[in-house]
Amino acid sequence: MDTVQQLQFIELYTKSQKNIHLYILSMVHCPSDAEDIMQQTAAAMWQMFDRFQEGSNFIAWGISIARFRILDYRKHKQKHRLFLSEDVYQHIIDTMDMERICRTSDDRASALKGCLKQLNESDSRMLQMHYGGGVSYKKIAKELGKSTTGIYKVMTRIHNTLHSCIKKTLMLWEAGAYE
Amino acid sequence: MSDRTEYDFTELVLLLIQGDIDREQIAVLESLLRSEPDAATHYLELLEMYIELSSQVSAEMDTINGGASQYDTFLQALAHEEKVAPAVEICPPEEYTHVDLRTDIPRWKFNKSSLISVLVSIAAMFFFAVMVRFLPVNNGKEVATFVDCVDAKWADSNPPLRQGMRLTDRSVSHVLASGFAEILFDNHASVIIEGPAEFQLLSREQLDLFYGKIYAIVPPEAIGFIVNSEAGKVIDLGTEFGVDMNTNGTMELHVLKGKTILAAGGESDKTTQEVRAGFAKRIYGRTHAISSIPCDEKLFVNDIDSKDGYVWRGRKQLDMASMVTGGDGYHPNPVLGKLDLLTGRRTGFLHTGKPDKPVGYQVVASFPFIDGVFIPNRGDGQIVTSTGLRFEQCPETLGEAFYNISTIRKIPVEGFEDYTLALSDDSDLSAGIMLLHANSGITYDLSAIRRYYHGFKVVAFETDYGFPTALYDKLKNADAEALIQSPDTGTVEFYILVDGQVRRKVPTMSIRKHSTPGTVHIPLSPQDRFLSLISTDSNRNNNFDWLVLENATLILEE
Repeated sequence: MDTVQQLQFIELYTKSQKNIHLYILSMVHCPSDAEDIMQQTAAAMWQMFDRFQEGSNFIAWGISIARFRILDYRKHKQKHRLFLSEDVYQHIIDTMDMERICRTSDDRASALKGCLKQLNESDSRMLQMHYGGGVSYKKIAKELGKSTTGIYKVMTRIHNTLHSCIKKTLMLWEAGAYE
Repeated sequence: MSDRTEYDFTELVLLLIQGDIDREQIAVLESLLRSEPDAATHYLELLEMYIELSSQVSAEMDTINGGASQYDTFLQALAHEEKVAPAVEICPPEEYTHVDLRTDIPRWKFNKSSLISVLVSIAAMFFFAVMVRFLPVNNGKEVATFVDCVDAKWADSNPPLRQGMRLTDRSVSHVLASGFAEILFDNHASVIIEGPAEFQLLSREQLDLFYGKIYAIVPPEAIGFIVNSEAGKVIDLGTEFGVDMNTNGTMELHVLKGKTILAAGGESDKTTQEVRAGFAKRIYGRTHAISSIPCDEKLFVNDIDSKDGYVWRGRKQLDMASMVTGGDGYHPNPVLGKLDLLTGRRTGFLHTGKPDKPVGYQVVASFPFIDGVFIPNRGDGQIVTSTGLRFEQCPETLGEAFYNISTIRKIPVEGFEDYTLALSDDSDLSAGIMLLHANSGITYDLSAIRRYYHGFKVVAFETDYGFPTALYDKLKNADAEALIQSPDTGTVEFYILVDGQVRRKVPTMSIRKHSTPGTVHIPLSPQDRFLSLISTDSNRNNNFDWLVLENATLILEE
């Protein structure tokens, strides 16, 4: 690959990484495994970039490369993990509006940033422990002397709060009513 | 998706991501994904948020240096653990050496006296076994089930009761040293006991209360349920009632629903009375005299839920003032303060004036039950919810406000004494209060509240409202500032909106006309999403337009 192609790949990949990652995570659920598959996919995309047709959909191309790795992963992990049924995965794929996701991705990220700042200290710390430190819910429960069920309830509340906040913020931005 | 379903769905997705989901839960998740129209979209939005959180929170963590946060300490401990934990050596199978576990066992030395001892012991054991097998032992008959408890501590002599345990009518009393316990009798009468209390189950329809408080909920099929005490007996006729038995022998009966028969006295001087809902009686232990007393529903805990830690006393209601500063409405919120109308955040500042430009609706993201706050003014096309619903009938106002909604009873006013806000001299100063100085508005998110208190319906909003007594006192003061004497001063309107629609407009209140405090009660339905409380100046003058809400509550039902 020459330098121009490399720069082209980096530009395309940077714009689409989150979307391909979302697709993979929605199909395998485990964040660490999704990251592994993402890296494998990225490596494969880099190697096969000369086969990519300029002007075509880079995200769709990346997803098609990821798809086989996902099927392979599920086949090998099915004894150790629970997965959804195939028809449910297909339903999720059919629902996935990549164009809308691309279009709103930056706005959602900005909205989330604002919403995170408004969380109280305790909730922020919980998120930091999990997302920043990679500590599982079970370990958080043990560390804080709480039940795992209790931690799930707290995390569910926090995620719902953030999800609602993002929705509210986007709606207001759309209505031009939020300053 | 309904609020409850959305909550459960999020929890299932988190379980899925964490790898903690079980077969039953995954089946539920699949069912939701198949049947709920927006479940798949919600699933993807949650995952998208998960990815973004991983990116944003990690980035934030990278900029944190030093500090001794609990999280840092925890990570350091984990890292240290990894470094110092001894290495585990795994031997390949061929390196295991065979260990002979046989040991020398001394031969038992036999003699006559030891043989006799053994034979006697065996005979005694045999005799005991026969005794246990054939002699009748009264274990009692099962009459009730132990359902639930919150913070229950049992006296040492009693084994702790566990949820689901069956209870018998054997002649042993139970002593609840503190906390709350719920028992369901086999006739379907339910009893909540508040410690300290001692009680005994006499049958599937009778309870002896030696001391303590109990609250009984008796359905029609359990009519005739009896609570005995030293002072008297309560026979239920299909009701809810509370009994408070004091250690000095005095008993109180408070009937909240239906009716009961109260029997007091011994064989020669027994008296019986019917006691109906809303009435209460006290029996004096020594004399068996019965007197009427006020019925107080708040004396008794009538529902407990160990899953969420709820202990409901009296009517199930949530304090809306505590929600203004982030409380959940159930637990007392020690954090008093103000909600800033300009930013939607908690503030300590008290400032006033007109903003340079309209600030619009401020979403309050940090307090889960508050949707947003605003300064109402028709000219700004007043939006009253985060979904963009408008208050079409919003009047023209000054567009000025004291820039916050306050929950503090004492407010300082420059040049004057601190005011204590209360609607009357009898106000319970420990109860929640909100000052909505015109022009201000606050919107509550009823959906969020329903999600949090899943299992309950929000059936009504209720509040007392009016001017604080301190303002009237000011009027009486001959030295009162000219400002407060102005006819334009102290007139305010109070609107209550549900989903942007006016449900109640309280007639304009005026200090000069000595408007008296009032009460509003607004029924709510499961479809109602937002509740907005708004104060407006009625005449483009907001001086001393102090609208105070006391006991603003949301009423819940199961």
